[in-house]
Amino acid sequence: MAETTIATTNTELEARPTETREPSRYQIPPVDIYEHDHGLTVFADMPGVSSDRVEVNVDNDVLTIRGRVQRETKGDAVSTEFAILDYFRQFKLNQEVDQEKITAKLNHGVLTIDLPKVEAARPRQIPVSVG
Amino acid sequence: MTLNYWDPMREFANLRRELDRFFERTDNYWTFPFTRFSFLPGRAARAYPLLNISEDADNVYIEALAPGVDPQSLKVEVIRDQLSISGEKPAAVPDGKAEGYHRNERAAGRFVRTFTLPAEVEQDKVDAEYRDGLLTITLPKAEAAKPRQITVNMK
Repeated sequence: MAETTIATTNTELEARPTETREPSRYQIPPVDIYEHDHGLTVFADMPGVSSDRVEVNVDNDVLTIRGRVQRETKGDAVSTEFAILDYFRQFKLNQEVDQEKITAKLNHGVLTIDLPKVEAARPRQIPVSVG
Repeated sequence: MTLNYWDPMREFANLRRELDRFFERTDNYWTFPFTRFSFLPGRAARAYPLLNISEDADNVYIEALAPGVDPQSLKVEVIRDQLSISGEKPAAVPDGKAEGYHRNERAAGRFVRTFTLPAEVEQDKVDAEYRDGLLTITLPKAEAAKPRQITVNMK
C-alpha cells in the first residue's frame, strides 16, 4: 500500500481555501500498517478528533483519512510543545483490498481501519494428497 | 520547595523549549517541517507525552497529547509543584511479527514524565480527564500562589 497525495478533482478539497485561512496547514498522522492473512489494518494517531469529525473514504483506489479538530484552550499559555492541526493523509490501495468491506473505528484518538483482502488474494493451503 | 539540584538534562529541555517557542513565533516557511509532524521525527528521543501548559488567575491547565493510551494505566500524581504523568501505550498489534509491518511510525510502550508546575496547587482538587486521546488536567492554584490585589492607601 503506497502513500500518495493525488491531484484531485474532488470539489470539496478545492473548496478548502475558502474554508480555512491556511489550507496547507494540516498535519500527517503517524500510522502503523500491519498485514494479517485476512487483510491489512491501519492505525492512525489522531488526538483531538472526535468520532463525528473523522472521515475515511475510498475513491478511485485512494484511501483518504481526514480529521477535523475542534477544541478550546483555557488561560494564557505558559509553555507550548504541540499544536493540533487538522489531519490529512492518503494511501493508494491495490487490487488485493476488498473495498466494499472496509470498516473503521475511532478509540481514544486512534483511528483503526480494517482493509480485508479479496478472497482470491488470501493465502491458501493446498493439501497434497499422496497416492 | 522544588528539587533544586542542577540537572543538565533539564537545561537542555529548557533550551529546546525556548527554541521551539522561537520557531513557533516566526510563522514562515521554515516552521513547516517542525509543525507538520506531531511525533516524527525522532519519536524515541522526545519527551512523551508532549504538553501544553497554560494558566489563569485561579487554575493551571495542562494538556497532554497521548493518543491510544490504556486509560486504566494512566496515572497523574502531584507533589507540591511537581506533576508526574505515567501510563502505557500498548502496541497496535500486541504480538505482531516484525515482518507484518508495512509501516511502523507510532511509538508504543511505557512512559513517565515529571515537570515543574508554574505555581503551587491544591493537591486534593486536581481534576483529570482523558478524551479523544488528549489528557486534560485542571489544577486549582493554592491560595498562597494566587495573585492578590493590594489597595494603595492615599494619605
